[in-house]
Amino acid sequence: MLEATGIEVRRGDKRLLTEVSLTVRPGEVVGIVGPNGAGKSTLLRVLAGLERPARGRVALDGAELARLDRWDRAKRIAYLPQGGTAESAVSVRQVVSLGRLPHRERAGPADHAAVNRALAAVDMEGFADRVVTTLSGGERARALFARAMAVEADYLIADEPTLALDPGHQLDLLDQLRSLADAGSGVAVILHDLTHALRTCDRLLLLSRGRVAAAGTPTETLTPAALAAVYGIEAVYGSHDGMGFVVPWRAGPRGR
Amino acid sequence: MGVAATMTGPRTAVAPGLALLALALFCASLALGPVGLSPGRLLGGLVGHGSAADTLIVQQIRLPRALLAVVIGAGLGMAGAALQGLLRNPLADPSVIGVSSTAGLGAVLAFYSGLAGALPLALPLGAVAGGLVAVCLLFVLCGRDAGTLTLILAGAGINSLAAALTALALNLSSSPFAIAELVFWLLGSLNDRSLDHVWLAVPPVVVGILLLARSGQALDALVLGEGVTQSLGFSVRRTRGLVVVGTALAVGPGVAVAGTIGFVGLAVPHLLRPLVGHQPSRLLWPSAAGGAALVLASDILVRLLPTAAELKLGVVTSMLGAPLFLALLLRLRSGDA
Repeated sequence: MLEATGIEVRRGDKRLLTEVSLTVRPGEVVGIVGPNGAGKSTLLRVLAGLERPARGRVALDGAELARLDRWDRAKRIAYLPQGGTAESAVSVRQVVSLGRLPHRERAGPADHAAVNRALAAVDMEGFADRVVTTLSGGERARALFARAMAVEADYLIADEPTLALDPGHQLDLLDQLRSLADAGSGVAVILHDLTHALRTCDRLLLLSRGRVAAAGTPTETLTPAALAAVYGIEAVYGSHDGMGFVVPWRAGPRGR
Repeated sequence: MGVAATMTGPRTAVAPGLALLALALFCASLALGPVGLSPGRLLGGLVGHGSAADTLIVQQIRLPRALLAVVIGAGLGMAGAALQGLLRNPLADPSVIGVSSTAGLGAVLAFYSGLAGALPLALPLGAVAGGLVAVCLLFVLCGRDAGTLTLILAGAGINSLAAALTALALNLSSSPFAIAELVFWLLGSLNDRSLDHVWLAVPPVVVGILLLARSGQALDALVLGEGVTQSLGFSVRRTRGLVVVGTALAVGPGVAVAGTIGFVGLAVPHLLRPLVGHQPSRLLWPSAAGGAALVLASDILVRLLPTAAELKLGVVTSMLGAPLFLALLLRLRSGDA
């Protein structure tokens, strides 16, 4: 269990997060939603152990994350930043193989298999030998997602992984997150699309100005009142094939 | 795609191939000199079984020159490859970012202050300290994520500052002989170096090279940015420190004994990328071998070219490297680097 309690993060005088708590259990997808600048990415960085909070603690199965050996942490928590880049003309396979670095056995057959599994999961086997800088934005995003998957960590922390993907690949990626969780991993993911959050996540955390505005199951969280208060929007709710959807429809005073 | 797309095969042979080339050039460098020595006499002189004159020529005159070329070239090549990886910038090079010039300044100050006369180690230490100052300044000026332009500008700033201070030291120097000596020394040369120079330069450069070699995997991860690198278990700060100190150690002592030899660190990784690919870790050792080969070859060229005054090694490498640098800038502008 990956557990953040009472997190406070400051940048200079500014408080980015105040009293935020979040738990990710194995087998569940936890979505983090909220307007721009709400502190979502900062929370993920804290959760991934990349940033130390000014207050509060992050624990992995009860052990404080900050005290964990770097390599142990790297093996257990994979992190995918928002809109990640690959600035060098390396191949897709080389990029995905970087996910095996925490295991320190990159050349082993187990690693090769993990890399192939990750490539297959994002439908990129045919791209393995392509140079990442020659890929389209969406293809590159999938390669970077495969890199995070190749870690085969217990927890995946993903910051807007659907960014730059076409609708088809967005749904594929959400299915991937779902099946990772169904296979026993814990997933924390930032999503902007409320329908995606609704259909993929077991629980949601709605952040607003660095504080938790609402939390719980997706339907508990994404209430008309919460969306009005946090985003200043009016949304249309519905369902299709037994699954709900939320479509932001009108921007209220806050949106103007 | 092209070459970069194929991953294994001939690539693995590049480093040994370059090492063999460097070895051949090393032998050629030993064989080259005003006194023609047969391979037998050369070998005899090398191991000390030849005549006293042969032994003197080979061990005291030619061997230091060839050894220094190997070590200095290897240090420059690897430092260039590591810096390009760390800064994620293909234009990074110990001379472009000002490490070489500040190392030179450090050595000049050691000369000028008289420390070098009192303490033999002061000169190389001054150069290493100068190199460290440059790399630290660079980080302060460029911040965490150095863009190409910022890096070049910071390097230009550091270079001009080092040039100004070097000029000041020369200006205030009382003896014209000292000035001439300093200027010639700054141009970079391996002529008339002794085994003492070898002992001064080799240990720190080797330590620097070994430090840089340890940064390979972290540099590979840095292709994906600092957040991912950290999440993969590396300490970005430690990696930066490793490369900074490694570069100062790998480049500074070379400047201390041979003056400034520019553009090797820029050119070698670029020449090798089509052969070994763009992954930083795969470039490190081949760049060391390639740097050794390039400096050996340039030092041989210096001796073979019939010029009125003795041609300086640093002049030759800069004449070869500066046009390459300009070509790279043009390629970067067209977005193809």
